[in-house]
Amino acid sequence: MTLEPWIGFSFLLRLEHILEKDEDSALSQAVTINLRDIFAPFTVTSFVETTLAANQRLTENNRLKFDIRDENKTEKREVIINASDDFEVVLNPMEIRTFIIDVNRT
Amino acid sequence: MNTTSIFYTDSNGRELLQRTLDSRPTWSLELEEPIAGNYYPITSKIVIVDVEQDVEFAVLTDRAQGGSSLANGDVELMVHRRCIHDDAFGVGEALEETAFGEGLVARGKHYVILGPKENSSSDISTAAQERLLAQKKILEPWIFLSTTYNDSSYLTEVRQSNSIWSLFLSGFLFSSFQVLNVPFQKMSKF
Repeated sequence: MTLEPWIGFSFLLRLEHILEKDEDSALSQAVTINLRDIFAPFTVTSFVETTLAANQRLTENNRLKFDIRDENKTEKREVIINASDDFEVVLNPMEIRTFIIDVNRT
Repeated sequence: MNTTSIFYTDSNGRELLQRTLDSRPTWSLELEEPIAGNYYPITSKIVIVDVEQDVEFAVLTDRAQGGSSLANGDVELMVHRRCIHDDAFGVGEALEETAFGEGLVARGKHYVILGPKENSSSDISTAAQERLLAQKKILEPWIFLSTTYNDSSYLTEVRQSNSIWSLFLSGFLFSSFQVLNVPFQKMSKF
């Protein structure tokens, strides 16, 4: 979705899953992407996931939690942080994930 | 198509929202404005579905418009508004914009997709085809041309940036995800 120069040799990268859940039997599945496989001109050396606006690390972000009194609506939105040492990231349908990546020119 | 008074409009090009004619999700409604009250913003897509016949019909728009499905099987889009008389909703003037002595005319493109809702014989579903077409057409690259200098170093720079472009993505690309928006003028740091 976005790839733009950030600070120094880092870039802001946003990846987007463009399909909704259940829109297509195959394409609406979660997609696993290896950040090191995407770009030819450089290698991703490290990455950190941030909020959509990229002003805060996702691990440091505390959303307000609301008590929902409507008993019919017990569905809770959970923030899933897939911290990983390898460079594989999973995109669920309609998900946008934001990363700051450090790169080396190959 | 029997669409049972339901249609779908996009939420800023992303998830589809279900709309029901003369109705709101959380309260009972008596519409004073039966047409305007059923109009919704269409950022990029409006869809109607006939579940029994397994047919889905979608219109993709190239710009934000108003839209609705006022009768089963209908889709209507408001491409442009031009009123000769004041509509008496408080602005105190008619919405009549002119340029060069003539009323403004809006032209644009609509892409129509019709296909099965569930049992697609094709590899990808109708909904997925809509998504892919939207990526291709609505997010089409804008091409800008400008005058340049008769300067070989400049041309060399342009050629180099072109080679960066063609090299940029290492040739995979799943169709359900993509990278957009690469500002090359700043790529000189490489």
